Amino acid sequence: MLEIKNLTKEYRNSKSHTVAIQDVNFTVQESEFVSIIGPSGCGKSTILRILSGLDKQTSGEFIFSKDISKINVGFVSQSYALFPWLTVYENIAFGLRIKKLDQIEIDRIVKRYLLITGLDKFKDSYPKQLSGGMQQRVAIVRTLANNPDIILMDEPFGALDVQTRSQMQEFLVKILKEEKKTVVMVTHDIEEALYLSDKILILSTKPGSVKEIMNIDFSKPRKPELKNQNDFIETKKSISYLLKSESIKSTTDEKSLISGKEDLIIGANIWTGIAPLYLAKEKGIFDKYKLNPKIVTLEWSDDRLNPLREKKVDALYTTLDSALVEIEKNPDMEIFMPLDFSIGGDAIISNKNIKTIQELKGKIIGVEQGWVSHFFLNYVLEKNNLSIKDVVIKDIKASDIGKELILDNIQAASVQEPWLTKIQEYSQINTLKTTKDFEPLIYAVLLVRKDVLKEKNEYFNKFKNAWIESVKTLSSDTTDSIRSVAPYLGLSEIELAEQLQNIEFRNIENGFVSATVETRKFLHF
Amino acid sequence: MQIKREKLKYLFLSFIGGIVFLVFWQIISSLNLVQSFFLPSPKTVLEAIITLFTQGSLLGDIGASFFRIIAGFILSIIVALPLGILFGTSKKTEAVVEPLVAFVRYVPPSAFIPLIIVWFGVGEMGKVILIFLGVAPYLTLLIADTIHSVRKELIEASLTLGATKSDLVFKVILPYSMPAIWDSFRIMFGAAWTFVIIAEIVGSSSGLGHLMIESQRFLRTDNIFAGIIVIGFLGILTDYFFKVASKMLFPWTDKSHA
Repeated sequence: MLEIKNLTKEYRNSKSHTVAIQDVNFTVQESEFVSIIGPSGCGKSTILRILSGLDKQTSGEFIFSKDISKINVGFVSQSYALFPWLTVYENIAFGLRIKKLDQIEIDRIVKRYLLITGLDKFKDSYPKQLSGGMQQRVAIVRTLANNPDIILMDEPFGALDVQTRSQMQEFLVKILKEEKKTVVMVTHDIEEALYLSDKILILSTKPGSVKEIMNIDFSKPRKPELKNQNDFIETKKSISYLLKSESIKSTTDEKSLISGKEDLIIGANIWTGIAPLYLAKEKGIFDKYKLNPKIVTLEWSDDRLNPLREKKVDALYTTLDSALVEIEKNPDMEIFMPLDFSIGGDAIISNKNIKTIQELKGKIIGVEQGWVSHFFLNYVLEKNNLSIKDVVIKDIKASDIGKELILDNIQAASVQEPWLTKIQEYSQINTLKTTKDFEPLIYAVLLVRKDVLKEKNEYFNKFKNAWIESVKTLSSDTTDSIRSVAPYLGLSEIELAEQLQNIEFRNIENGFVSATVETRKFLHF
Repeated sequence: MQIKREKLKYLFLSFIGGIVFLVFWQIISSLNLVQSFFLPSPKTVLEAIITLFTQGSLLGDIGASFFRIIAGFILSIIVALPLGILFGTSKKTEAVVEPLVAFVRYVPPSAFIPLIIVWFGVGEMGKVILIFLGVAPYLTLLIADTIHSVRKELIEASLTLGATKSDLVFKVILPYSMPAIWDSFRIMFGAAWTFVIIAEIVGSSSGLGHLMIESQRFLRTDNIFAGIIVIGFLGILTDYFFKVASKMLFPWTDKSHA
């Protein structure tokens, strides 16, 4: 009954230009319950505001199957927005009075809804005399009394405590059983979305667009017991993962450090091992050495080394394997120093049914092609007397690998932090092999163009010292360091602490030479 | 119960404050530190008030002052209410009229007195106009400010319930703003007292201001004090009236008790 096509909303003023949502597409069927969830700031509410007519889209359109002039849209907001000067009765009657229905008709409708809310005792009370849950019940039936074709709800239960929240969900289930209504609801509560919806839209962020549409097939009417069922909990976990990976992406993107007077631009991929860079910036270690590098997060280009070749960055925080491949093709590049190595930060994971590396034969495996996960997969396979040709490779961005695994589009994957821990946490997967099972192999290195290194020789030496000092700070003053760095990586303090267990920063020169030799052996595949 | 006890305590302390002041006043006049011509004793003033009530023109003067205030105030409301609503809801109207209102607001109303006397004479009309000039501009801006601060989600809720522009003004903005507007009335009513006294001092044959300027002519300091005290009490009374009325008129606000 409603089709949303390429809906886009931009906010412009003299200082800034933000794209709130971009090319949002979805459809809503008659009497369907659709939930929209996504990380904060993904433009969830913007979509509802546009649909309700409170805001105007920049481009794109939404088409109701009925004549648009006759479409009656109801809107329920988080803040209840009851009229404080009107009694409960008059609040419900508000829309009907505007429509100028006769008093008998108004009375009939209002009484019916008062009965549904169970608030007829309070019909002459003012909103301030009601609890939050009661107020929101009135707000919902006030909208229903207007007989809307579609109801839009913006975090309707967001301001309520857990107990009241689930009561309100039951209330909604009850009402919707009696009156078939089409609902689009924005929420940040995954359980709530799962419990109420026929369809869940997961939005990605910056700019907001539809990342995934999930059909929820639990039979209706649903009972609260459903929330304890295994398949419900599993689905909930997978949605949690999708949201978590979105929020990691969005924070790393926006927290690029920019001060305007940078003397060096370092490109880095999303990898927990860049923590000491942020720490050095945050703790004034760079300042102490009179360095002011800028750290930019790179992701999802077809070729991750391009920014370095195109001189968009002066140095690139990358993995040893990719650095070696690049140097082979491009002798102008040089590894300045190794920065860390992975001790469990990279892993081969698989769904529940696959228990050994041998079983990977013939299976679909997700990796980011040409990237370290691809290299690691090749390494592990060859160590187990298999070859990359024995499996089916599917090229997937690191941030999406968990999603594909959860949705069963791939059967196994090679993936690294920060995604790895999150996938392990939110879905039932087997971890087949990690870098911990091998000699130090996957190193992060700083790859620099030779001319830059020559020109800024002294700078790079200072950088090396700053890095070493930052690593020392991280290990001597771990709690405080984690606190200041975690926000930059889009992780909580606990998550970062956990992930740092899988990365080694100290004494990394020792094994570096043999790792280089070993890596070279497995580069060509 | 807790609230009631707090209130009683507050009233009691206020009462004590008043008593201390009166005792202090009585002591100063008993010790003859100041000549009784400059500072009559509380007792003399009380007697003056009673005499003015029973034998003098006090009741008539109060009535005359009240009549002027109410006339000026009603005139102010008639002009300020629609204007304030227009200001608060339409940027264009605000842009056109605001500078003028602001200008009038910055000129002290007493500065208009010579002009008012030339235009309207010293009759009732001039006094009402002075009160109007003193009250209306402020009231307009106070109302406009109140209108501005209507909660956005209420406006949005009513729009999604099908409200038109005029519904918005009459069914949402106005009812929501009424308690705050009423509060502005209360504050401006106090200001109206100032202007009526000025008007009556300048030229009048009745009213509390007239009573006081007459008393000055006849060096009746006790009557001047009596006038001041009566004005003070009337101020407290009208303020109290507005507060009580507010609770009765707007039982839905957070301030009033259900």
